[in-house]
Amino acid sequence: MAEEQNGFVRVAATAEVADGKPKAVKVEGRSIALFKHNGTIFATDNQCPHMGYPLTRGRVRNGVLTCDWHGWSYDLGGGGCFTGGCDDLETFPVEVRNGDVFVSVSEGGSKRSDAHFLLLKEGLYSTDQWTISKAVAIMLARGVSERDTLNLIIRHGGRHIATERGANDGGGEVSDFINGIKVARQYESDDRIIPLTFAAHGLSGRAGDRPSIQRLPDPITWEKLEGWIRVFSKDKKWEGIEKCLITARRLGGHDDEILPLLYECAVAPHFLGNSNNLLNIGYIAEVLEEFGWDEAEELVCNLSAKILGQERGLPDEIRQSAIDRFIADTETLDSVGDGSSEGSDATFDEDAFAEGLVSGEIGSTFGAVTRALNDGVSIDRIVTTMVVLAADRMARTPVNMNPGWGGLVREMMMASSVRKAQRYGGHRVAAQALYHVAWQFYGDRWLNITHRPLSEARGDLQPGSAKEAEAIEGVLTSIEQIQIREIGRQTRDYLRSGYSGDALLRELGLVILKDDNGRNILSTLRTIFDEWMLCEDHPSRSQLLVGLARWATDSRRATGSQSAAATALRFAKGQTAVDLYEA
Amino acid sequence: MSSGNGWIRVGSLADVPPGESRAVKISEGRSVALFNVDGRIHATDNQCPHMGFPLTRGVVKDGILTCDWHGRSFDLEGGGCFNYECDDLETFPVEVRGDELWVQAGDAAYRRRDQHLQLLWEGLLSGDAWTVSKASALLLSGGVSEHDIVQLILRHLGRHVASEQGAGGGGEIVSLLVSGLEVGRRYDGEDRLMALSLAGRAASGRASERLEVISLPPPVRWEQIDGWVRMFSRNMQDFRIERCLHTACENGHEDKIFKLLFECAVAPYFLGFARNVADLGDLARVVDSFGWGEASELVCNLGAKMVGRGRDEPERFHRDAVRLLGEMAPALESHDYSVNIRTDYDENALVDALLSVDIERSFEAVARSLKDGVAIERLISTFVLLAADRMARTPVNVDAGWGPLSTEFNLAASLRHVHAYGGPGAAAKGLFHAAWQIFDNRWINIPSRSLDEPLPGHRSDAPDAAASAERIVHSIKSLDIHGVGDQVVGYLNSGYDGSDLLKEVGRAILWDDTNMELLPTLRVAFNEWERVAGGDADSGAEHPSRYQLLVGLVRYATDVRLNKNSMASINTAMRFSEGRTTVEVFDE
Repeated sequence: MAEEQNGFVRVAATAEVADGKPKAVKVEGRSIALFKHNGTIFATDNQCPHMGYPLTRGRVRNGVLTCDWHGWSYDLGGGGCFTGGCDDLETFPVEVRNGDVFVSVSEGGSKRSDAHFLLLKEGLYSTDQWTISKAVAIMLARGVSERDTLNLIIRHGGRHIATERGANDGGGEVSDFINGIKVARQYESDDRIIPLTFAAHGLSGRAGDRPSIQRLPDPITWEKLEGWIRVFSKDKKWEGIEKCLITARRLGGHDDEILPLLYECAVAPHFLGNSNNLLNIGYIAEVLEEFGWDEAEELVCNLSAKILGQERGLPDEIRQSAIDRFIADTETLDSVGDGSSEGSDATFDEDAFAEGLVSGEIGSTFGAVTRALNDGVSIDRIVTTMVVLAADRMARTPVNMNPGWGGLVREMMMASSVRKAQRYGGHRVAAQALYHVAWQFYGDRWLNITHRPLSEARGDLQPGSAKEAEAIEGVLTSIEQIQIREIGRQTRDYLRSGYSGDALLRELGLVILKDDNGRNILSTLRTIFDEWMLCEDHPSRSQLLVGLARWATDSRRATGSQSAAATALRFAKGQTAVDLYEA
Repeated sequence: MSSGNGWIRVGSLADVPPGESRAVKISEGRSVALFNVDGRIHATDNQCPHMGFPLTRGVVKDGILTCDWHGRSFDLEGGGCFNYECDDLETFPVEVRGDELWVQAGDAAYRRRDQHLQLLWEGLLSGDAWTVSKASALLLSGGVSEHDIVQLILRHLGRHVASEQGAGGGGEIVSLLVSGLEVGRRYDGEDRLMALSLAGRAASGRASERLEVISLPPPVRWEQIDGWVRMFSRNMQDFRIERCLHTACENGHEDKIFKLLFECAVAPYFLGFARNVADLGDLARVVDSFGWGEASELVCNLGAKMVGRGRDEPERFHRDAVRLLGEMAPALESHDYSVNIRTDYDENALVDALLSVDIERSFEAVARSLKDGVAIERLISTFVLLAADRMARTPVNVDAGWGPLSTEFNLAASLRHVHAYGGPGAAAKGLFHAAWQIFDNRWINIPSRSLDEPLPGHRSDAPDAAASAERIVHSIKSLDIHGVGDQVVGYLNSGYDGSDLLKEVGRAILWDDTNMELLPTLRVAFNEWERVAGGDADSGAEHPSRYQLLVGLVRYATDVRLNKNSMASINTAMRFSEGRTTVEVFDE
């Protein structure tokens, strides 16, 4: 029936389309809906722009077509949507010739060229998961520029965070955004949709009106601004920090000095115990690297100011004494120089360092860091140990009581973040950051994980009989079926069979992303993708995958009631929590 | 003391010892603060840009000057402020000539228009009354026109209403805004600033970005939009209406929009939404005074919310009234309002019917008056004066019903807007909405009185008009609800000018914290007094009940200042336990 004339294709006989009896036809692979209304025949895309329901099953009244599923309505003639605001329906020219209906699809319909961006904006304002996923999917499938899309999100996010979010919730959203982008880079084609949706969803939400921040009037120098930012950070006055940052931008010439300054303030001793700062400034640094100042200015200046100028609770005596020790220890570091002395990594006693870190004594914990730094061990080497130590703890934490996942993943992410601190903030900042990580290990001292030397490899190589794909399938099945007791052993068996682990990590990641817990695990997943490469030569590297697999499995259990009841029963019997762990 | 280029000698170096500060007055109202910090003298304006505290009493540390009062901080050198919602501080060049201190204070010319507009916007966003008032005062005294200020307010208000308000809340804001601006125009100086600030405060609140509304893709004709808006209004689909209205604006049909909106708003199914009609009238006033430019988001969004608002299933009386009006509607729409116009008619008969507590009789009386060719403006005057008369006489020992009565009054007056912007058909239907409002207020126990019955003839015993007006204002302030009404009648019987009294009473209202509540009624009283007491024969000039406009307003203004909710409920409870009905209590 495909007779073609000037782009018009015959699609039906007029008699086949009647008032109240629409007809769907296929033209060039697309489903087109034909409606007769008040004597005129109309042709539209048959896929409802909202969720794809066939519009031939909708109703027409007064020239308005309404979809049966969610009630979205369109102007039958022009396709304008009355409901969603932006997602117009494509309509096509119709001609009736000698009792036949002709439709022109090739001329293109009525869709706006910026429809995708309007859709994305609508999703960003409403936080509607479906709208955001749809916008990301269209971007991936129809060749919309990913750069333009992400730029729109970052600009929206800047305004959103400036008007609606504080230091910590704002930091969490930037974490979802940047980690979503980074994880998406590990995948191709359709697998990227989930992490990119997390990224966009992370920065979605209301964006209030606000006047732009005006720079401080002259005379202003960078030195003044730098000093004031330090003062305002100490004094918890974030508005002043934001004003100084904007002024520094307008002043020009000092963009490169801003990040090191932010880092310097973020790792100051008075922030000990605020583990978010190190992570969040790290994410901000990555946003800057990805998008540049022009796109990210509002987000970076506002959120950094809120982070550095945030309220801090008064420290209790334990934290205060740790802060004092932190200050005393870092003062002695001044003699170490900039860490450029090489070659000391070989003499690094990693097992002793790790033992000090988890000793549960703040003196030994900080002492281990101070000694390593004084011995000239490189920060990268120290970070590797901390990351693997955290992974090892994740791989072995008992799950019969609270396994402490929140603290453990923080140990790992903070440790990994010190690499960024070194890159964007310099050696001195990174050295100070190590104490913040050490404090996290100290804070997790209640976790009853037996210590094990990291330098020992985990078991011998035992070439497995299974094919790699089958072995991976086994691990994934255990996660999906929540076999928390099996998952660790299975993962270790897989690794002992000599497979590289790269494929397992990618597959693990996909399973995690597809689960509703995916967003919680996103930042850890991203860290493990990074560290899997960076810790390549470490004998305990495999614990990264074991730890991740165990956490992904355990987080799918919903056993809060059971665990509270079990703990209560043991408690009534007079047992301590440590007895329980060992039960 | 001064040389060229605005340099002024402000003292000697010894006057400002290291680490100290000193204030120097350089002209009337200008005080300069001098600070000696680390051997260098700095000079700044001494008035903290936030709330005017003397900065010489602030603290300087790390080059940051911090005010003692609310802790606003400034760069001592450049004057930049580190806080939101605050202006930069003016700083002045300083020279030490020998032992003498010289400061270049420059001229006092106004250069901060843009900053103060931004400050006003910040105040509007945060809702901080001080910032709104301060920015408005600074802009006005800097010679910025009220028109420019209002344009900014309107732009903000469009966003605020679109992102934060429903039909009712948005309508109330627009009503306060227009009332504030219209009342303000009757005053000068600080009174005018007060009215403008009230308007600004009413319009303040959070505003968020939103997806821009875009035109419906062509082809879209006005007839389609007209049909769709009516359909979506019936179906309570406000969002859909907004896009239609926006498209109409873009396609050059602005002039048809209000007529359509009014026709929707006076539809029978909107009976009982009196505020909707009145607020829509104010929205039309906004566009009339300030144009579509900055107001178009406000009109398209709020107009859509008003005529597309949700409605509950009506209860029995309500349903009957809606049906009745529905049956009358075709005749009202087809009637030719330009023939047989008359202004003399049996007003008492109409009033009797309106107060009969019989909605059928009430509606029929209105319909008959229209059919007989009574001018719509004349009928509106009857409704306005009836409401005023009821306000002038409502008993205050139980709930006086000020809210519903002022709605009755304001709705009646707003029908003049409906008439002007929506045409006589819409205004005619609007009269039935006003009639319903009176029926709805039937629980208020006001004894009936004919509007042509003479009022008491006593005169004021004050020596002159000013003294008599002053006494009335004093009665308002001292809560003399029982004496104030007679005083107003006495004032007017003495031949004193009602406009002068209205202005004094209005001033008292503006400066009291009940101002927001009374503002719309004050504005209507001003307008109607001009119309009814003036020479407008069509509206019923020299009407025997015209004094009640002022009596009603003054009683309302006095009674709302009494905080007697507890007393009223205790009294009612006591009488209740004695077995008496509320009407008996009214009659006491």
